[in-house]
Amino acid sequence: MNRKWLASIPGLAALLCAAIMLYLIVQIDQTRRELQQDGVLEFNFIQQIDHNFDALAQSLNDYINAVGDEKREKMRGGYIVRYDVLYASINSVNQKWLGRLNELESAQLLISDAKAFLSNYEPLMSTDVTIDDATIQQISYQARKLSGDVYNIGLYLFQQKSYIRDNISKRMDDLYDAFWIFGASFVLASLLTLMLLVTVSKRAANLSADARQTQSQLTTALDELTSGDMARQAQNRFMAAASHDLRQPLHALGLYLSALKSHVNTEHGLTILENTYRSTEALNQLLNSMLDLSKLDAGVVEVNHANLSLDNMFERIRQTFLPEAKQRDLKLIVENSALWVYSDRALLERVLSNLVSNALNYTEAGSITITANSLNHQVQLIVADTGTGIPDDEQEAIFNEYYQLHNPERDRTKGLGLGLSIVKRLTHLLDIELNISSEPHEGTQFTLLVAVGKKNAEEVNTNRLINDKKHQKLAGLSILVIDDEHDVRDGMHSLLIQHKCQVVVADSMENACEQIIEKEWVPDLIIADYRLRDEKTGDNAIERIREEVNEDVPAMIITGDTSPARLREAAASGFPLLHKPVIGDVLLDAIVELAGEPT
Amino acid sequence: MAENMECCLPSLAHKFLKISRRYDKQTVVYFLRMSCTLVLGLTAVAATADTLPEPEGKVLLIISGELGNTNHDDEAHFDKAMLESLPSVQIVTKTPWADGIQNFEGVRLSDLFEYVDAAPESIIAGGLDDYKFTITDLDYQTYPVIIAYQQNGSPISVRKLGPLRIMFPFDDYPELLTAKNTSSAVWQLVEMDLQ
Repeated sequence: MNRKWLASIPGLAALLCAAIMLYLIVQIDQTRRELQQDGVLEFNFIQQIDHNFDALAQSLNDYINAVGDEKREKMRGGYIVRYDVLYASINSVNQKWLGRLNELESAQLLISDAKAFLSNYEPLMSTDVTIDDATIQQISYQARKLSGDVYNIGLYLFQQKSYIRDNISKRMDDLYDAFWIFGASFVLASLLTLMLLVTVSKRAANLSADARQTQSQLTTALDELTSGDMARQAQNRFMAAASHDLRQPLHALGLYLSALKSHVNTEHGLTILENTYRSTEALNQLLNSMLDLSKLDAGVVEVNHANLSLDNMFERIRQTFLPEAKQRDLKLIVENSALWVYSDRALLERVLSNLVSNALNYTEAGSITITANSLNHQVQLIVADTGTGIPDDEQEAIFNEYYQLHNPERDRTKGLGLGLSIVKRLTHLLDIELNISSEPHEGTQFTLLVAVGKKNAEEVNTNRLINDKKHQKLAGLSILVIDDEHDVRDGMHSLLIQHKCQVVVADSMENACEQIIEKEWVPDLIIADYRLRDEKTGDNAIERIREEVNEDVPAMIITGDTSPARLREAAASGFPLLHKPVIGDVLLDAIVELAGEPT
Repeated sequence: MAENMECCLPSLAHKFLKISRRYDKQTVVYFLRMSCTLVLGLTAVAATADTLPEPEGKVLLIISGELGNTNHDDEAHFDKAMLESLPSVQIVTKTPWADGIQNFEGVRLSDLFEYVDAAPESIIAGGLDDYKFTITDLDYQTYPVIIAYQQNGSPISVRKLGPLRIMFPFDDYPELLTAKNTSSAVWQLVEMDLQ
């Protein structure tokens, strides 16, 4: 049965009880009235009629027994009055006064007999009429007989009354009993209903809360679905899982290649090595793009605003892309503007790089132009190409991940299709307005609106060029490497040995501690993988070793994780963080920087 | 004068209190009751001096018992003319004994009792049919209970439950319609014993 119906049963029962109680009250009142009315008045009436018949008979007898005319005359007046009194009691009193007696056949018979008696002797009951003694005796006899009938009826009535009274009393008792039973039932049912109502209202409140929650979840899900967040999250999870596994061997490969360089003697070998190196670099870039996306989604990218010289930035971009442009026979035009912007150097440069890279990819012939001009207290940066252009209906889609125009065969030399989605996220992060205008076959123009910056003389050239001299500082450093991947450990070892470092490798935190204790050795630097065996992390290991040697040894963490949650966690450890695969030079730079810091 | 009164009143009260204190409460109550009885007794003695006129027609009602004014030994006898000489009151009401609304005319019990100088606590009313009913706790001063001698504009015959009958204004005072009162409404009334 339906729960709703079950809940309403006590309510209905209460209503029913209330209705029955009302009915009982009416019944009780009626019975009480009946009991009250079924009184003694009828008896009085019966008794009076009996007496009147009797008195008439008596007065008639008195008349017969009287001696002398004068006395007889007086007695005649007596029986006439008695006759009148009897007449009045039979004829002038409403019969309803008899109550239940009316329903009795014998009573009705008596009344009709009495009336017949009265009308029969009516003519004789006058002072003018003298009745003979025989007739008097006859009347007297009849009166006495009727008196006897009335008496019997009285007895019968009395008997009936006793029964009736008992019946009424019993009915009254029954009614009272029923009243109490239903009264109690009513109270119980009402209480039950009240409890149910409270429960139901509580449940309803819970349900509505649940419903609200579900609704908000649905809304979120819908939002995610419409904005593509859901698909992106799924991709992020997949990518995080995939890229972590890719990263480990790639990291090792990079380290090996760096180490191999000095062992290759032939020119042909060097060329092959160079090509291999470039391929690895390309692979790195692809993975880094994915990582960038992950980092942006994880919200762990820090924004450091500064006043930046656009000319410097444009120059760096020109230097980066000039070789490719030349190779493709494209013109790369960069116009100096002497303008300054206020933004994050690395991130803005990334935006511009991605846009230029994108332009190069989609331009077959012509030029790519990078210009800047002042517009309404902002700086407008324009990256324009003479490429294939983007149809209107695809101008939104190009910012989605893995979306590539004219690349249905998904040629990976053209990248993954992440460049513009990173641009979109970065411009959002940097609060830069990004616009696109394009005509098919005419070209595309990306416009960025960036806040104006102040001219700052201290702006330094930050070109990160590999400085071999710098790397010479590495010689003699003792470095502890903790990584559970054998290849990575070996690669690191090879690379660092080459730079004349003293290297100790360990596959776990425990192993590292053992070696330190055994050799009674204090490392100058610790490089730890973030994810170690037995649910341990790099920062655990570093803390543990620092405790062991009782010294705040400089340390860095290398992680192959790309999942936003893991990245947040690793960043929270507070140690400098490098992402796998780490290019040899970048790693060496980091080591120099860290080891040079006063501890 | 007024000043004197103001002075006197407290001193009188003071004196009374003094007396009260001298005699105990019971004595005072006894004294008061005695004096009351004496005054009433004197009044009663004075009243017996009054006699009512003799009835000239047929005697319809005999009032006996504790009454001040009499005309026949210790009783007061009334003929129709005597009753009619007293102020008449009308009662229009339904009754339990007859169909329809009846118009009764007669003399108020209170008027009658005043006439015979009586203030009965109970009345034993008797009818031609030897019916007797002791009427108690009847507030005849408040309710216009009458001894009717006319019904619907004409004298009442014995056959119509007359010639006199006690009637209550049932319709005007529905609270009067009780078993006791219907039993008190003696028809064919011939005598009343006042107690």
